[in-house]
Amino acid sequence: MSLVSGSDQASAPIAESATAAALIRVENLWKEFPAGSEGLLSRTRLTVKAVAGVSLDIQRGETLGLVGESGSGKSTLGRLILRLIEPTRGSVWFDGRDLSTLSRAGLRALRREMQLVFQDPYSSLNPRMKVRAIVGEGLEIHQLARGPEKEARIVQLLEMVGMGADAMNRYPHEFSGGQRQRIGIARALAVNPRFVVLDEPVSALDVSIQAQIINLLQDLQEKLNLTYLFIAHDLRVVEHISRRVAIMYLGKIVEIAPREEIYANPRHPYTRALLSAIPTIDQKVKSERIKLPGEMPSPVNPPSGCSFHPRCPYAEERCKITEPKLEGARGTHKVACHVFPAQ
Amino acid sequence: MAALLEVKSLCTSFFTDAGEVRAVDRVSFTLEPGKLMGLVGESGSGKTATVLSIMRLLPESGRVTGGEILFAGRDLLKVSEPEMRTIRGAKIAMIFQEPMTSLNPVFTIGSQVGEAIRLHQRTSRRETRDRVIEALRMVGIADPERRIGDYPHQLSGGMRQRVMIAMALSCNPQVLIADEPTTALDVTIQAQILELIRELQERLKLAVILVTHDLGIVNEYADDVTILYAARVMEQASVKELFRNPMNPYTKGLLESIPGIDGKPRRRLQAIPGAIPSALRPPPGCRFHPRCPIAIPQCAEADPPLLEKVLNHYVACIRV
Amino acid sequence: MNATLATPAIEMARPLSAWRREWRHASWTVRLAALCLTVFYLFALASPFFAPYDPTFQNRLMPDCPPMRVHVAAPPDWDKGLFYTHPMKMVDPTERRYASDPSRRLYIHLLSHGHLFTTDSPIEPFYLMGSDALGRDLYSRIVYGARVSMFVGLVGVVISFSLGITIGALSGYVGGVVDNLIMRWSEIEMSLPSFYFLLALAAIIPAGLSTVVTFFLIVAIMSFISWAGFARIIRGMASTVRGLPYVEAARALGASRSRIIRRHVIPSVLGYAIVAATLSIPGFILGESALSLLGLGIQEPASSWGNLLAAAEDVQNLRHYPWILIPGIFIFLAVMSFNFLGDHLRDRLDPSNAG
Repeated sequence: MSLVSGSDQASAPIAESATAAALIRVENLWKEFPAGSEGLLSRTRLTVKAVAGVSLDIQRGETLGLVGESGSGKSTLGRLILRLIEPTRGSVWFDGRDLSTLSRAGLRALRREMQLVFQDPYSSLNPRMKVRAIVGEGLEIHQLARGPEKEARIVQLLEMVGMGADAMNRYPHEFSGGQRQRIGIARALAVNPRFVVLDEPVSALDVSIQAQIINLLQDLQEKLNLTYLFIAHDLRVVEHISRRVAIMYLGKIVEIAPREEIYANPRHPYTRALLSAIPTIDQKVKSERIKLPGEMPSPVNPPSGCSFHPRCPYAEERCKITEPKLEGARGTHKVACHVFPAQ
Repeated sequence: MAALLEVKSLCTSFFTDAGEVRAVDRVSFTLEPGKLMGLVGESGSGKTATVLSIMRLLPESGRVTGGEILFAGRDLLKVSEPEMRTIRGAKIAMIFQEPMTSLNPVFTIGSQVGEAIRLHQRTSRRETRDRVIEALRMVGIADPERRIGDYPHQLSGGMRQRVMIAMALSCNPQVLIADEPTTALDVTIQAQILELIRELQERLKLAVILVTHDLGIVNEYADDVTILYAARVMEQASVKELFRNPMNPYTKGLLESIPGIDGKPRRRLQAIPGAIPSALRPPPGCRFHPRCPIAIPQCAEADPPLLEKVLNHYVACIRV
Repeated sequence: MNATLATPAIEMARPLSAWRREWRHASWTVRLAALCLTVFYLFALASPFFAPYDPTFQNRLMPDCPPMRVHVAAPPDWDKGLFYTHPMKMVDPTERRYASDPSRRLYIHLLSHGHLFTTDSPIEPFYLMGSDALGRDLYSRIVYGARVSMFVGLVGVVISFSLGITIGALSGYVGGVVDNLIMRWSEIEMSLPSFYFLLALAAIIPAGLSTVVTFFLIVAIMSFISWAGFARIIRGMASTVRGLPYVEAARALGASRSRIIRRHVIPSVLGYAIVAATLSIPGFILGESALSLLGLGIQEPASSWGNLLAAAEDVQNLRHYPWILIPGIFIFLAVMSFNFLGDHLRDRLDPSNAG
């Protein structure tokens, strides 16, 4: 706790000073997926612009929350950063190394440093493997331990995520959702990563279990000095765990700011709508809800200009024509909006 | 006001190879016209089994083993199946979690809503069409004259859920049961759908049961709330009362484990320890006692009765 | 798996108890099926032991002899033999009708002359299941025929499934042009009318080849026809498995392509493959009998259940000598047994049912 809040205070100078300190650096990243052609005989190929020009930094030891609705491209961005999928263009730097320059073997070696935790604790564990084999897979691949040493390491990992050693010889289906998520976390941590992408790690869990996993993730971050990219559609959880929060809409980041700023001073109308749409358990007078008409347009054919303009209650003529850039006056709080630029 | 729907000591079990699973255990609540009750619970709490019992739509392996479901004074459990069909849909309507699979992909939405109307009322083709358009307009679908020719895949998730609501309300039911209607939807769309349900409920004086796992939704949209845990009612009160003065340790635990969005410095979440008990072998006594921070040995001995601790605030806990 | 902890004794005991546990899980149909198949494979592996006579020996005195009844000897006669039968004698050579001679006893010797049971001489035989038109012991021919009929399925499945799994997994996991080419080729194969194709190919087999070579050629032909459908299913499964989160997790851990195919893709499709393999064996058995019926299968004097049953194609024969249908019962039992076993395996290999 003390470590987390300590780094919280230090956040501003780090973020401002140099990107050299960033563990992850994403520059103008694009990913387009083929989406068939227009008609049966049409030759024009359609593409889904899942990620459309994203740039961001993730500092060592911080948690960056990435929030977006389904189809916003947040999961794709997470996988692009891990280079589990190839970007169409743009680059990702991990600790000063450009991932696109790495050989296949080099990339596999780098996988030790970057890991992934999945949303669905059911399909993310191989049902035919015992927990011992699931958690030990990374140790085997990178030849980190063998024999009794490996055995001891698996026990240690299981204990670290709050499971007993007796779990080793059981199959995933014998565990509850929360326990499976713990096993998934142990698998990711087996290779001693420095950076972990958490792809909606608590969305599929029951409310009373979510808090356990969130606490576990925070404890592990503190203990192992991990850097997180926490992907979620739920601002509540992200707001709790992150130091900075990025809001994604239709493949682009529309706002990125420190946690307190997002709450206290949201600029982008979409951020504000998201915040006001969250049902809260607070007893205070409920704030007036910003109602967004319609739904997110198809990423095959995004709107011109600012892609949020068809739903934006404040849209002006220029929003339909020119695309706003993600800019921040003071650096830490960046917004992509013509009407409400960063202060 | 007189109760429209009264569930009394409902027990429902599923009979599986592994044995009898008590999904609903002596659950009682009343629902008044024009009120929205939140039925809250985690997985295995029996919230869906409760509403399926009311609709008499339990799967083959499930059976109501006790209690009464009084609707306008009649026990739905004693009504014949043909008679139940005239009640289901016409008097008590239901919408489901998954708007993708609840609509038939090969028929237009117009014909599906129309079928729902003609199932219960004899109307001419012309009349049906008018009522479909009216129903679609009511749920906020723009340009319904053109939309009735659309197929479900041409609509987004939020639109499909609106169509489901239109279908459910097309026969002017008195009770609407919404089983996690927004779980599959994004948060901005969720807000749209919940506002719509709330608005229609007030306008049409509907009695609504909103099944959800999200206490935030209950706080913002419901009038009353029933909290279920492992097939049992833990706490029952008006929303105002419950959120101001939660008494059952399970309710308190749930509220504390939800991260607040307030920009305040991070505190550690108060997680409820342990896992949700197996429905096949629930713990003895109070179902929650193995995870309860204030449990005493007596908690393991007898199932605590649901008692009125404050006016209209019922709690099942011997420690309060 | 547990080598460091388990003592050798436990390791030895484990397979036995696993079998016993499986046995307890099985329904009686499955147990019966397993028993049938065990017996049939024992027939195939130790034909000379189980068959009382040489399957090609022709007893010209006793063609189309009906099955003989077995009697239990009285205890004082046990030194001569535990069982005996009354020898048969042809009473009407034109109608080939037989009558047993109750005054004489023909003792059946158990475990003598290297057979499970036999009589002193094939000239005075004991026909458990009757004899054929040439006076050969039908039971001995069935026992020897099991060699062909039981192994045609096994060998065929090994060929077609190793082809199918390799090609299917490759196609499914690699995707792209490779996938496209393989799948188009398999479609061509599947659109051929397979039985006529089989006939055409069988006709090419030169007549002078030995039985064993013919046998393998037939199996090979059938396998090459049947791999395509299987490869397509494996391909579909492999490409589904490829997209599963746990495979992505393995990629994220840095697992190589071959490791993923080995550790995740193949184990995931293997359960299905074993079931499909079991269920496709009857097809081979029936295919062989169909070819034999047309005279394109195993040639006399060698026997297979198919060519034994081919004798029953003549309704006249069937009316007079109904026991020539007995090979059909064996085919039926084998086919049903594989089906029961396959269905059972499908249930058991689902990991959530294990335990």
